[in-house]
Amino acid sequence: MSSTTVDILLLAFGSFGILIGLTFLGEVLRARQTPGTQNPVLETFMTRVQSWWGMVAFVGAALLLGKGGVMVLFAFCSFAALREILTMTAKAQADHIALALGFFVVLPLQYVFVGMGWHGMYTVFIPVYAFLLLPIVSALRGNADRFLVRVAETQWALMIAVFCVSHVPALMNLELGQSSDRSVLLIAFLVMVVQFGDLLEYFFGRRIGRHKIAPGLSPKTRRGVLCGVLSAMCIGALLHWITPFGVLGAAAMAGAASLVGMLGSLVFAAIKRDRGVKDWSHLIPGQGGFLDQLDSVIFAAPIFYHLTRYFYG
Amino acid sequence: MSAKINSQPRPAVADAAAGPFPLQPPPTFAKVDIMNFLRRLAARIVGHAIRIFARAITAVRADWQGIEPVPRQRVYFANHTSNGDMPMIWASLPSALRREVRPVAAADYWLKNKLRAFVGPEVFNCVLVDRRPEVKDKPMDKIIAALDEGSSLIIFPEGNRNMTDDPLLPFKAGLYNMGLARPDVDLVPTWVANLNTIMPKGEVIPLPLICTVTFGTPMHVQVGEDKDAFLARASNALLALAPKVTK
Repeated sequence: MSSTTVDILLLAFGSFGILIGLTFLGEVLRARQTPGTQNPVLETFMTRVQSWWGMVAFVGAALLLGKGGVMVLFAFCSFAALREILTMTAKAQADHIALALGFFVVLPLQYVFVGMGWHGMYTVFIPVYAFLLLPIVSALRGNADRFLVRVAETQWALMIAVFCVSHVPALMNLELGQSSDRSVLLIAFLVMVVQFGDLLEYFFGRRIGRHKIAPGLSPKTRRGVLCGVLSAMCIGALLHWITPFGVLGAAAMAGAASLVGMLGSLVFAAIKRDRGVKDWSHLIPGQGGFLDQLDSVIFAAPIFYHLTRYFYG
Repeated sequence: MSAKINSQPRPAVADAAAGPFPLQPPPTFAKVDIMNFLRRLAARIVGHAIRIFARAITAVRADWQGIEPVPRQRVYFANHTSNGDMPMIWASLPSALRREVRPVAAADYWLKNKLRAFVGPEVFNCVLVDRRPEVKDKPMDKIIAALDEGSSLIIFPEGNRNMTDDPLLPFKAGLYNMGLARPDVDLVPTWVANLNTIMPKGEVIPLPLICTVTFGTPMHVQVGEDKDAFLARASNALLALAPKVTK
């Protein structure tokens, strides 16, 4: 077994250990409630922990399978996320072909480019080529009704669901002056610090939070976010051994990713509020959609990718 | 079509699989059995393929607002914007309900070619109705006969696909007549969301957007209720299920 495989297994078993602890804690708290009552905070916590079990299993298996597994997993996430966003965006029949191209051409090509490691292409393919070409396809059908709204919302959906999500597997392409297969561990690092930061932000926010950072949008509080980011930094520092960042570097990278992720989930909350829905879909039972689960990772991924490339590449 | 076929004692399942229009009189018993078996097998496989395809592409989800997904005799009446409506409702039903449900569909559409004549009557087990006035077999007789066999039905009370910007076309009388003739059967409003964007008329490639099928509270024709009042009530109940997403 290579050292990378050993590290992935260590992380997976570590995560399972933490999840067993969290599940146990939740069940103890549940058992101590007065019978017949339900604490909504506790129930939300428990459903989150449950979907994490699935997430750890899927991400762990994908990482062990190597590049192919990771590409397939995130391409599927992109597809599910794009479907959730485009279900809610403005569109007309004139956009039908442009949207079909988005699903069946742009999305697969983006993952092909990431798989080829063609940095110069996958960083501009959607922001430049799809951005310019898809509106042309829509315009050729000759329907001007709310045209800018339609093409803008389609482009936004592609940026979030395909471009941003594909930057998670793109981390494998970074050359960081270490044995090349270790880049896959950066995915585990990013996902873990962002998700643990979110969980602890939720915990601290409910416990000691006071001032909401975006009243009317989200229950996130200043203290909650601060504690969440600090926790993410600690977790990042503890995980420095899987990164090329060093202890302080790992803490700083984790803090940056976690902060961007938390603020990013405010953006998603604003969109959901605007469209009058609570969740993006019902694909993950008790959880909402893929976007509800991935929102902070989506925002953090491109920033994390480019910071890593700039400082350590 | 012959009394001969009808008089043969055959199990109900085989009957259903053969559909309402057996194409030729059967030559011999052994051959019929094998052919029936193969056609039934093919129908099941195609049915599963359609269901898996629908779920993979549109993540079709049933939202049981007004009823539980339990086997009860029902007439699901739905909005109709796309040829995909019926397969979508069909695919969203759990298997115990799917086995008992028969979509009511136009014979001229489903008997147009051999493939459709297989998929419509045998995979979906459609009740095929011919709406031409000169035909002796009246649609309502076939519908009532299917109800009396214990089947649930899927019907589209607008009569045609809705190509307008209005959410619903005025309902035809059929729903009222069914409710009047068989008052015990639950009439369930069923809203299919999004299909007109997933597969609009004239497009070839379906878009993989999320489709939700919402089942509302069952209705019945009330004592003394006239046709227009009932149809208006049914239409409003169906419209009330449309998801309110601001765009």
